[in-house]
Amino acid sequence: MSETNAVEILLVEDTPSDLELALRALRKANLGNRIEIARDGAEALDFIFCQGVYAGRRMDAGPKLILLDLKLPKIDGLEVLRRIKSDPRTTMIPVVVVTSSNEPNDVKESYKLGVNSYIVKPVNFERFAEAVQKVGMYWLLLNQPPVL
Amino acid sequence: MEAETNEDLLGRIQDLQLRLDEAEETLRALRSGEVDAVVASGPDGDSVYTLRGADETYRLMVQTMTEGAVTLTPGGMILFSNEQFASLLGVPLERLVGSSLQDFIENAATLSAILADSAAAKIEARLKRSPSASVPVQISCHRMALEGIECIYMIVTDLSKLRESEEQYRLLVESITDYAILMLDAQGMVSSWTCAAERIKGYSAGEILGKSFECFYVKADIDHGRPQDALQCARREGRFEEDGWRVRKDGSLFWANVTITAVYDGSGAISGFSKITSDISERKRTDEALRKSEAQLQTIVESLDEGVVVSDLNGRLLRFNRAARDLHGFTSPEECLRCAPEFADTFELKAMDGAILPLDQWPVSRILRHGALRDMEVRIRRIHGDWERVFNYGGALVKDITGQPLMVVITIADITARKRAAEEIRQLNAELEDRVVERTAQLQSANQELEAFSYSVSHDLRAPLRAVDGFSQALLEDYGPLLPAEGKRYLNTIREGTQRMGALIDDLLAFARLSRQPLNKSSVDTGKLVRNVLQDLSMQREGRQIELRIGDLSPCQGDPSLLMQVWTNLLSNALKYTRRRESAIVEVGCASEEGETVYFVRDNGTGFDMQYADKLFGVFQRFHRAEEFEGTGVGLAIVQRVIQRHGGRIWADAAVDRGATFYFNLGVEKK
Repeated sequence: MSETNAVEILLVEDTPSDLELALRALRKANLGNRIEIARDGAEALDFIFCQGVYAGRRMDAGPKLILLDLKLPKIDGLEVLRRIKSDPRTTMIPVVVVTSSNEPNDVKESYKLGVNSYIVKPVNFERFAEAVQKVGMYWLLLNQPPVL
Repeated sequence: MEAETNEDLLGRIQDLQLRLDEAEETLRALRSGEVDAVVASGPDGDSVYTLRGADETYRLMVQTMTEGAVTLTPGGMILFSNEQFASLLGVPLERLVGSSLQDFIENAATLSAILADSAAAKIEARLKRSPSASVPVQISCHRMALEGIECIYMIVTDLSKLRESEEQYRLLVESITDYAILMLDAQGMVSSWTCAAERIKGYSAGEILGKSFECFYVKADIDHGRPQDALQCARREGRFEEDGWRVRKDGSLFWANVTITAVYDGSGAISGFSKITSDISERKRTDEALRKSEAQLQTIVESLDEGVVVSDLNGRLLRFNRAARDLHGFTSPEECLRCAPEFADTFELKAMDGAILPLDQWPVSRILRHGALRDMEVRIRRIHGDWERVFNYGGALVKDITGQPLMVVITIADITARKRAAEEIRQLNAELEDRVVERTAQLQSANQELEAFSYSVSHDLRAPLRAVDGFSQALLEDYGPLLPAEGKRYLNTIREGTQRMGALIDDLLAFARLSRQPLNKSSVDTGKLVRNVLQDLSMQREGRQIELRIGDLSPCQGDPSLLMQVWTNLLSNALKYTRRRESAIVEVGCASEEGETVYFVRDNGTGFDMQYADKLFGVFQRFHRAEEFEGTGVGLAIVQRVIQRHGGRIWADAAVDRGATFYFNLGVEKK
C-alpha cells in the first residue's frame, strides 16, 4: 500500500459553501492532507468502487472515513450508504452522515443501513467546524480500524 | 117330619112342570137360534152363558174391538157387554149383565143424556171403575130395535190415555215459561191460555179468553190492520212469523218474536191458530250490544293504518279493510271482491332477495301451515303495470272455541318507505365511507406534502444560513486584523442573525412535526417523567440557587414523548424566566377538580401582564425582548398544540414581576 496514494477522508458534499467550510475546518485540524471530494452520489460510488473516472484506483487505497451528505444529486446519500454497507469489500469503512436533516426518518433509515454515526450540521459555523474536527479525529486517530 | 100333603106334592109337581117348560122353551129357543145367551142364577149369583154359532163374525168383532160395546134397555139395564167394557170398569163380565148402567156412571145428568130419546149422541162421561177410581170415556149411543124391543147400543171409548197425553201436553205447555203458547179460534179470539202467556203478556186467563188477539198489538199496527194481515198470511201460507213490538196488559212494550200457525180440522178447514210469542227484548238488547260492538270493531278495523285481509281456509280472499284496499291500489270494496279470485294472477310476490315466491310460500299458505306468521317482508308487484311495493306480512289462523280453524287473518304493513329510507341510509353510509376514504387519502397526501416541505425546509433553508455564518466567521478569522472594531461588530451581528434564524427554523419544524405525529396514548407516570425532564435540564440549573418543589403527580393517559415535550418546555421556561431571581422557586403539582386532574408549574420569575394573556400561546409571540430572555416564542405554542391534541386545555395566571403559573389538564378521563 502506497502511503502517498492513500486517501484518508472521502467528503461527499454537493453544497459548495458547506464543502468549503468543511474543508476549512478539516484543514484547521490538520486532517486536510488526504481528502478526496465527491460532488454527487455517482461520483462517490465511482470513487469508492474504483470505477468510471476512478477506474485506475485501487480498492485497498482507502478511504479510511467517508463523510456523507444525504441530499445529493444523481444518486441519493442513503442509496450510496446502502451500497457501501452492503458490499463486503467496503462494508467496514466507517461512514459518518453529516447532513442538515434531523428528520427522525432519515436518522432511522441511516442506522438501519448501517451508518456508523449521524451528525446534524449545525448552522453555527464554530459548532459545525468543531463537529467535523471531532468526527475526523475520532475516526482517524482514536478509533481502531480493522486490519484489511 | 110330617108327610107331605097332596097339595104340597101337586104344587111341587106344578113348579117342576113350569121349570121343565121353561127349560124346554129355552132349549127350543137355543136350538132355533133365537137366543144367544142364557143367564142363569146360581148360588154364586148370575152367570151368563153365551152360545156359539150365532153371527160369529160380528161376535168376534165385538169381542175383539178395543172399545167397550154395551147393549142397554131403555131403562138402563145392561143386556150385553163385551170384555173390554167389563175390564174398563174393572168388573167381571158375568156380573155386568143385568146390572144397571146407573151403577157405573158418575154423573146422573150424563146417564139421562144417554137414556134420553136422542139418536147418535157423543157424550163424554166418567165411569166408575172399581174399586174407587173413575175413567174418562167417550160414549157413542145409538138407538136400535132388537126383536121389536128398543134398546140402546153404546160404544165406549177409553179416553184415559188420551186424557193422559192431553194432560202431559198441557203440563208441557204450561212448563214452557219463556214462550206464551196459546190457541186462537178461526177469528182470532183467544181460546187457550198458559201461565207463561200470563207472565209474558200480563193478562190472566179469565181476562183474555174469548178476546181478540189484536189487543196484543201496538195501536199503530192495529190501525194499519197488521193483526188481520197476520192471520191472512197464516191462512194462506199456513204459517206467519215476525219480530215486532207487542203490548202488555199494563201498556208496556216489549220486543217479541211471534209465530202463528194454522190449525186444521178433519175436513181441512182452518179451525183456529196456534200462537207462540216469546219476549226477545233481552235478546234484542244482546243483539244490539253485539251489533254495536261489531260496528265498533268494524270501525276500528277500518280505521287501522295496517291492512287487514280475511281469507277462508282455502285461501280465498273474503274481506279487505280500507287500509288493505288502499295498500293494493283498489278503489272500492267491490273491486276488492271482484279481484280477489284473480289475486295470484294480478300480483307477483318476491322474497327480499328477489326470488319469486310460489303460491305455497305466500302469506296465507304459511299461516295455514304454521298457524301464525310474523314479519314476513315481501316485494309485491303488479304483473301488468308499473307498481311495486315492499310489504311486511303478519297474521294468524283464527279458531273457534273447540279449536277448529275458522279463517285466516292477514295483517299488512307498507314498509316501502322504510326500506327505501334504509336503502338510502345504506347508500349514504357507503358514500360516506367513500368520502372518508377519499378525505383520508387527501389528508395523507397533505401530510406527505408537509413532510416533504419540512424536509426540504430543514435542508434547504439551513444550508445558506450555514454559509452566511461560516463565511462570516472565516472572514473574522482570516481578515479580522484588517477590520476595525465596528466591522467586526457588523460581522458578529450577521452571525447572530443567522443563529436566530436557525433556531426559528428548528422550532418551526418541531412545531410542524408535532402536529403530524400520531398520538399514542398509554399510561404515563407523570412524576417519573417530570424528574427525567428536570434531569435533562440540569445544565440550565447548574450554578443556580433553585428550589424545586415537586408534589404528588397523578399518572395520566397520554403520548409519553409528546408529554415530555410539554414538561420540558414548561419547566425550561420556568427556569429561564426565574434566572434573575436570587433564589428561584419552581413548583410542580397537580389537583383534582370535578373529576379532572389539573397539573401546574409555578415559578416566582418575571411573570407577565395578564392583559396580553390571550397572545400567550401564539406562534412566535414573545412578551420579552430578545436581549432580556432568549427564545423563539414557539415553545408555548408547541405545548398548547400537544395538550389540545390530548383533548385538554392550558391556561395561565401571572402578574408582572410576581411569577407565573401554568395550569393544564388532559381532557376528561373516560372511566
